[in-house]
Amino acid sequence: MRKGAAPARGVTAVVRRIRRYLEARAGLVVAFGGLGTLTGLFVLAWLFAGADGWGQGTAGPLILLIVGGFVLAALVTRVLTTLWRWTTEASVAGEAERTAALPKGAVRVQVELARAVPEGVSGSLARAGEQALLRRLDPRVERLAGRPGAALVRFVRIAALGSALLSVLAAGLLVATPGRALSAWAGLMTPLALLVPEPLPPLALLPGDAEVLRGEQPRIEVRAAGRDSVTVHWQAIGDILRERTLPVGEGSAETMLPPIEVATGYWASSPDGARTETGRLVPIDPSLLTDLRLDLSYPPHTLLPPESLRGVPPRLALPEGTAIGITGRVVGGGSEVLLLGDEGGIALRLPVEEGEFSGSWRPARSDRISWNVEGGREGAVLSQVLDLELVPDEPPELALPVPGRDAGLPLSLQLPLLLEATDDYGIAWAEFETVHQSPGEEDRPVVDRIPVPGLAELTLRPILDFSSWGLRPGDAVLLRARVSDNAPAPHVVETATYRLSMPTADAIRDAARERVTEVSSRTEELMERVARETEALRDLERQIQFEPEGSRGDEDEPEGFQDREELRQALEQQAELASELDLLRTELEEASEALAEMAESDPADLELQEEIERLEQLLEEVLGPEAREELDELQEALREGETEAATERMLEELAERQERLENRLEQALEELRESVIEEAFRAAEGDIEELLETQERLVPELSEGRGAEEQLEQAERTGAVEERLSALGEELASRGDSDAGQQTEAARRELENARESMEAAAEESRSGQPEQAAEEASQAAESLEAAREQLGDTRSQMAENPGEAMREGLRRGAQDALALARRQEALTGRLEADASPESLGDAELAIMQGLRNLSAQLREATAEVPELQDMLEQAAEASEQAVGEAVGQLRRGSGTPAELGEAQGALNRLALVALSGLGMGGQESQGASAEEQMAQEMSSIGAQQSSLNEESGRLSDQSSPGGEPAPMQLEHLVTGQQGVAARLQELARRPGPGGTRSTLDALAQESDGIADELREGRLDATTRERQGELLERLLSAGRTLERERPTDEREATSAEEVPRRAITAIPEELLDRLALPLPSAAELGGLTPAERRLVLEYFERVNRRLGTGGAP
Amino acid sequence: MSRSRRRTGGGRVARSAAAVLSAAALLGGPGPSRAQLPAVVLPDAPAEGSAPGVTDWAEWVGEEGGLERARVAIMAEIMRASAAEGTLWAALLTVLEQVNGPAAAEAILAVGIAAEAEGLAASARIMETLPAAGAEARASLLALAAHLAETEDVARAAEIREALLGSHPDAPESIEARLLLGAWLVETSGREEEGLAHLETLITSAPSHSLAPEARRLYDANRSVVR
Repeated sequence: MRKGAAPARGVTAVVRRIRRYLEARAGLVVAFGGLGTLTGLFVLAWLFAGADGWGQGTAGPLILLIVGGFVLAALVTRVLTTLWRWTTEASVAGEAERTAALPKGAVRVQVELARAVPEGVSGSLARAGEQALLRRLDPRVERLAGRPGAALVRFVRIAALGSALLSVLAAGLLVATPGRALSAWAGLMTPLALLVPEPLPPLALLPGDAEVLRGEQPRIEVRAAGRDSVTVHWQAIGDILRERTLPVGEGSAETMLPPIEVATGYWASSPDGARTETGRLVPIDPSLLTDLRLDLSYPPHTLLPPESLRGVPPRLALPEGTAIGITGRVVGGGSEVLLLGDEGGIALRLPVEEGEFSGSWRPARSDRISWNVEGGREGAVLSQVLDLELVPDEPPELALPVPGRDAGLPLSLQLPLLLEATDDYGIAWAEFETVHQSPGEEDRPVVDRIPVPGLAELTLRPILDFSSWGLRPGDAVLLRARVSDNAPAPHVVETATYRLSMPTADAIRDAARERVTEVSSRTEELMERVARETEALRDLERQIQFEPEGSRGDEDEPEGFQDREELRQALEQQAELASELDLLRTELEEASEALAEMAESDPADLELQEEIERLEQLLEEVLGPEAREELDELQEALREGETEAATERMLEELAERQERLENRLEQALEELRESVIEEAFRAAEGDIEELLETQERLVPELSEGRGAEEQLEQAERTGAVEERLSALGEELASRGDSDAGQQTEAARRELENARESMEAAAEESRSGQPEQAAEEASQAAESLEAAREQLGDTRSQMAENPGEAMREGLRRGAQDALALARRQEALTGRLEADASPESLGDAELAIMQGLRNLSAQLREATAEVPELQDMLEQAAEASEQAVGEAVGQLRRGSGTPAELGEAQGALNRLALVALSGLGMGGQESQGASAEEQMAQEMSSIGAQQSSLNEESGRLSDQSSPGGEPAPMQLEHLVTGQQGVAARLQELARRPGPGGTRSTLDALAQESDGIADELREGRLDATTRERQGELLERLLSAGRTLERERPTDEREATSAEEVPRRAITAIPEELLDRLALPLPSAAELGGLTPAERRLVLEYFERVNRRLGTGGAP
Repeated sequence: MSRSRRRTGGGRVARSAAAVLSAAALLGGPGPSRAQLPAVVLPDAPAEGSAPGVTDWAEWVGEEGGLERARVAIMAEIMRASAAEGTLWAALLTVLEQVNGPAAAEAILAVGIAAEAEGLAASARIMETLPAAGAEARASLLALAAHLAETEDVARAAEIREALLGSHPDAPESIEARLLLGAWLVETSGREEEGLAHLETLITSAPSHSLAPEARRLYDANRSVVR
C-alpha cells in the first residue's frame, strides 16, 4: 500500500483500505490454516493407515477428511466471522479512532457523511471535517488496523509456522516411507472408495464333479469364508431336492451325503446370496481283483508236490525257497497289481495286460502282504491281506531209544536198535558209528550209513551184528547214531555215545543156559497150543466127515464155505507155528554163536555149544523143509480155491501133519527139558567147582586168622547154589525121576553142610580161633567136594539111562491101548444089549480121539527108535482104521458087535506091539553096540522082505492065469523092493564086522535086481523064488551079526561055517525044547502084515533068548 | 460076549470070595489068607501031552526065564482068544511088566480064573496077593483086580478103584480107574457130583490122555443132567 495516497481518498477509502488489509491478512490465515490442515491430514493419514495402507471398507480417510474439513471450515468461519466483525465500519472506525486517538465516533461520522450528507448538513463542512480528519489519521494501514490487524498478523504467522512444520513432517514421512505415505495419502484422495468394504470370496464346493463308489456316502465340503452358515442342496435323479444347512467353522463346513446309488447333483448357497456351481456325483463300481490263483512250487528238498490255491488265504506258511506263481484278473481297470509289504514297500509288481496279470515271486522273508491295483478305480475290491510266514528249514530231531543208554551186548551179539528221527521235510540218511574198544586200544570207527529216501519221519529198527567182530569178554562197542536232513544246506545231528559192553564169560555162559531154559519153557507153551489145535483139527475133521451134507453153516452160506474158512484158519495157525519154531531156533542159534569164541579155548563151552546146536537142529527138524513146502502147497491150493471138493481130504492131511508135528515137537521138548536139567547140573557143578577152589584157598588164610569176611561171603554164595539145587531136585522129582531128585537133594545137603561149616569157620576166625576155623573150612571143602562128586554121578547116571523113559512110555501106552480096548468092549456090550448104534457114535468118536492121543504119546516115547516107532505107527493106523470104520458104521446106524470087536482087537494088537517094544527098544536099543543095532536093522529088513514076499504071493494068487497084476499093485511092490535095497545100502555104509559090507552090498544088489524084474511086470515063480532066497539070506546075515555082537565076557569062538537052512515059516532053532509054538497061519491071518511080522519077530526073539539061556 | 472055554478046564471060584475081602485088604492091610478062600480049580491043568496051560504058566514064573516064557504063552493065547479075552490077557501082560515072583504067578492064575467068567473070584485072588507084592506093583494089581471084578460086580470094581485112587493117586493106572469110577458114579444115585468131580479131575490133570476125550464126553453128557 502506498502511504501518500490515503488522504486523497477520504475516509471511506481509509476504511476500505483497512478492511482490505484485514481481509488480506485473514486470507493468509485461512491459507496457511488450510495448508496446515492438509499437511496435518497427511500426517494423520500416515499414522492411521498403518503400514499396509488403508484397507478396503475403512472410513479412516473419510473421517480424516471430514475432520480436516471441519477444522478448515471452523478456521475459515472463525476467520470470516472475526474478519466480519473486525471489518465492520464501526469496528474499523473505532480502531482508527483508537489508534488516532480521535474521538469516538469521529471517523464513523465522517464515513457516514461521506456516503450521504444528511439534509441540513453542509456538504462543504462535511468535506472539511473529512479533511481534517484525514490529516489526523495515520497513513499506515497496519496502524490503522489496530488490534485486529495485529491479531491477524499473529495468526498468519502461527498458521504459517504450523503449516510449515507439518509440511516438513509430511515431506519427511514421504521421504522416509514413500509407499506408506503415498498409500495413506492416496486413501485420502478416494475416501469414499475406501468406504466400500471388500467383497466376500465365492463359495467353493468340494469335491465338485466326482465319481464315488456306489453306495458310498460322499463327504461334501463347502468353503465359505466370511459366512456363518451355508446350505448344501442335492438332488438325485428321480428324487426330490434336499438340502441341509451347515454351520461354518473356520471357513468351511462338511457333511456326508446319503449313499450314492444314482447320479446326484449338488450345490451350496450362503445367506449372502453366494451359490456354487452344481456338482455331480456319479456312482461307480470299484476295480475288482478276481480269479486270483497262487501256484506254490515248494523247494525240491521238501518233496512237497506243487499246490494251487484259489484266492488268497489269510495266512500262509511256506517253506523257505518256495516260489509263488500269481495269476489273476483285474476288473475295472488298472495298470499294475502291487503286492505291498508290511512296511509299505512294494514286494512285487504285476503288470496288467488286457485285464490279466501274472508273475512269480519267491518271498525272502515273512511279511504281511496287501494288494493294490495301480491305476484302477479307487476302492478297488482287493484280496485280503496275506499273512505270509516263511518257515525256515529245521534241523532233524533224533533219538535212539534202543539202547537209549549204556548197556550190555545181547547174547547173540546182534544188537537191535531203534532209531527215531523226524524232520520237517525229509531225512537224507542215517548212519551208525560203532567203535570196537578193547582194553587198552580202540579201533577206527565203522560207519554204516543207511540212505533214506527223504522220509519226514523215520523209524529204523536195524540190527547191528557184532558176531563177526571177534568180541571178547571185557570188550565194548561205542555206538552213536547220526542223521542228516535233505535240505540244500543239510543239518546233521547225532546222539550221545552209548557204550555197549560185552558180557563176561560167565555171564555169556549163564545167558546161554538161560536161553535154553527159556526156549524150553516156550516150547512147552507151544506144545500145549499145538495139542489144542490138533484136537480142534480132529474135531473139525470128524465133524465134516460124519455130519450129514448141508448140516453145517447157514442156509444162505455157500456149501463148504465154513469148512474152507476153518481150513484156512488151521493153515494160518500152522504157518504161525512154523514162525514161532523158527524164532525159537534162532534164539538157540544166537546162544550157540555167542559161545563160539569161548568154545575155541574151553572144552566145556564147546560142549555147551554143541549141545545147543543139537537142540537147534532138533527144532529145525520139527518142521523141516518138506513140511514147509507141504504147508505152502496147501496154502496155495486154498488160495486158488482148489479145496472146494477136497476140504475133507485136506483137513485130514492137515490134521495128520499137525499130529506129526506135535510128536516131533514133543520129542524136541523132551530133549530140551533134558538139556535144561543137564545144563542146570553143569552150571551147579561149575559153581561148586569155583566154590571149592575158593574154599581151598581160604583154608590156609583162616589158619592164619584171616579171611573171615570172605568165608562168610563164600557161605552166602554156597547158599545160593544150594537153593538152585533144591529147585533142580524138585524139578527132577516132578518129572518122575525120583532117583536123580534124591541124589540132587543129597548134593544139596552136602552143600548145606558146607555152608554151615563155612559159617562156623568164619565165626571161629572172628573169635580168634584160627585152628578151629581152618578145620571147619576144611570140612566145608570136603562137603563141597562131596557135593560136586554127587552131582557128577547123578548127571552121569541120568545120561546113561535115557531108555527108562521110553520103557515107561511103552508100558503106559500098552495100558492105555487096553483101556481103550475095554471102552470098546463096553460099547460092544451095550450094542449087544440092544442099544441103538447111533447112540454109541459119540462114545466111539471119543475112543478115536483117545487113540490119536495115544498114538502121539507112543510116537513121542519111541522117537529114539525109529523102527519101533514105525511099527507102532502101523499098528496105531490099523487101529484108527478099525475104530474109524466102527465110528462110521455106528453113525450110519449099521454097526454090529462083530465090527466093534474088530476095533477092540486092533487096539489089543496095538497094546501088544507096545509091549513087544519093551523087549526091542526098551532093553536093547539103548546103549546097543553098532553090531546089535545092525542086527536089529537086518531083522527089520527081513521082516519087510517077508511082507513083500507075502504080498507078491497074494498078488500072484489073485492074478488070473496068464494075467498080470494091476500096475499100481506092482508099483507098490517095486517101491518096497527098492526100499529094501536102499536100507541095505545104507546099512552097508555103517561100520561093522569084517565082511558085512560086501554081504550087504550083495543083498542090496539082489534086491535091486528083483525090483527091476517087478518093474518089468514079471511076478512069476522065478521072481518069487528070488524073493524067498533073498529073505533067507537076509535072516541068515542077521543071525550072523547077532552072533558076532560083542559080549561082556569077550569069549573067543572058533570059526565055523554059518549054517544055511532051508526057508521055512518058522526058523528051525525056534522049535527046540523050550521053544514056544508059533501062532498058526489061521491065527496070524487076521493080522496085518506088519502085525504078523511083529508077532513072529517077538516069538523068534523070545525063543532065541530062551534057547540060549539068556535072561529075559 | 462069547468067552472061549476051549483050553480051560472048568472049576469055579465062589462068588462069596469078594465078600470076605475087607477094605483093609484092598489097601494092603491084613486080609483073608489064601487058606480062607474057596479052593479054585485052576484052568489049563495040562493033560498028558497037551500044550501048557495057565497053571503051567504060573509055575514057570518061578523058573529062570519062566516069566518070559509065560509072556510068550500069553501072547499066543491072545492070538487065539476073542477080542474081549485078548484084552484081558493083554492086561495081564502089562501087569507082568511090573510084577514078578509069586505076585506074577497069582496074577496069571487070577486072569485064568477070570477067563472062566469068575471075575470076582479072580479079583479076590489078586487082592489077596497085594500085601506081598511090591509097592510099585500094587497099583497095576489093583487096576487088574478092578477089571476082573467088573465082569461080575461093577460096585466091587468101583470099590477097588476107589482104593486105587486113594492109595496110588498118581499111578498111571489111576487115570483109567478115575474114568471108570467117575462113569459109574454119575450113574449112581446120590453120587453123581462125586462122579463129575472125578471126571473133572481127569480132564484137567491129563488133558491129552487117551481117555480124556471119553471123560469129556461123559462129563458133557452128565453135567446138565446132574446139575
